Amino acid sequence: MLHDLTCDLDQAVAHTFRVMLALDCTPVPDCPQPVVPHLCLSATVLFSGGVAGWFAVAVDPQAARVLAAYLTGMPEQELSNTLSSDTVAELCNVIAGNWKSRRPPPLGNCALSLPSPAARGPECGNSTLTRLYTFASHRLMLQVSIC
Amino acid sequence: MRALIVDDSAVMRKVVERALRQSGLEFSEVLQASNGQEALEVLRQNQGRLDLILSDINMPSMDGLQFLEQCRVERLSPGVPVVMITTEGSEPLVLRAIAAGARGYICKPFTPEQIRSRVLPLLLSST
Repeated sequence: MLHDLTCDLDQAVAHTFRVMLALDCTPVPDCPQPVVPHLCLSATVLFSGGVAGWFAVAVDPQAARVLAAYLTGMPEQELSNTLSSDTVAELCNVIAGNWKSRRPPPLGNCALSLPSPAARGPECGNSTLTRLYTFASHRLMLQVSIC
Repeated sequence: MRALIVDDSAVMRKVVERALRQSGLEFSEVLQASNGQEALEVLRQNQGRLDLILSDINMPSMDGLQFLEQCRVERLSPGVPVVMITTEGSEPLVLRAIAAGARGYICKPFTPEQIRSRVLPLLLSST
């Protein structure tokens, strides 16, 4: 179960980055308890329905700026902080949706909330899957919690 | 041609506009709205002057399906193709969007080529 969730997560991340950003984004190997310093920009999407839980993305501000530049095609110096934050929120939304679409019901049928700037969702008692990824010399952390 | 992009995410509006402009289709103007309410206002002010609407579904204030329904009630954009762009690709949601009047559906993440391949036939058939 955990292996399937993780594989689908890795594929959703890789697919989203390849299609929307033309970037490779791969898991950081041998990183059981990832901790990324200076994580400042984050977004969380809640899912509800047959299963409840949350899906969160976090990156440092410079990584967010790089992502926004790739996504919009705008030069980094022209990007506002709002666009960087918005990029993190949208990536969270798209990766969560892509990941969900790879899962069978009941998770696959869940509804997704609008992304919020929270670092994580409400505690729901179960363990949280944390994955660290690397892209263009930057790091991205994903967390998924299913209640 | 003139298009309207409806999405609560400013960055996604830029991405969709960029994809439209990279698609090879020529748009003289691309209008934007951040939710269904704003989009209705844009339509009221531009009746008969739009060729295409691209709309997200999951938005605050008024979502994409409510926006479609209100367009139909007010007859704001008869004949103008509406394509939904969303992360939610579940069959029930697609069916609801089609029933509400959407002519096409694009799941995020998407490429400019996917935008073109969905939009071009609709534009050709509506002219």
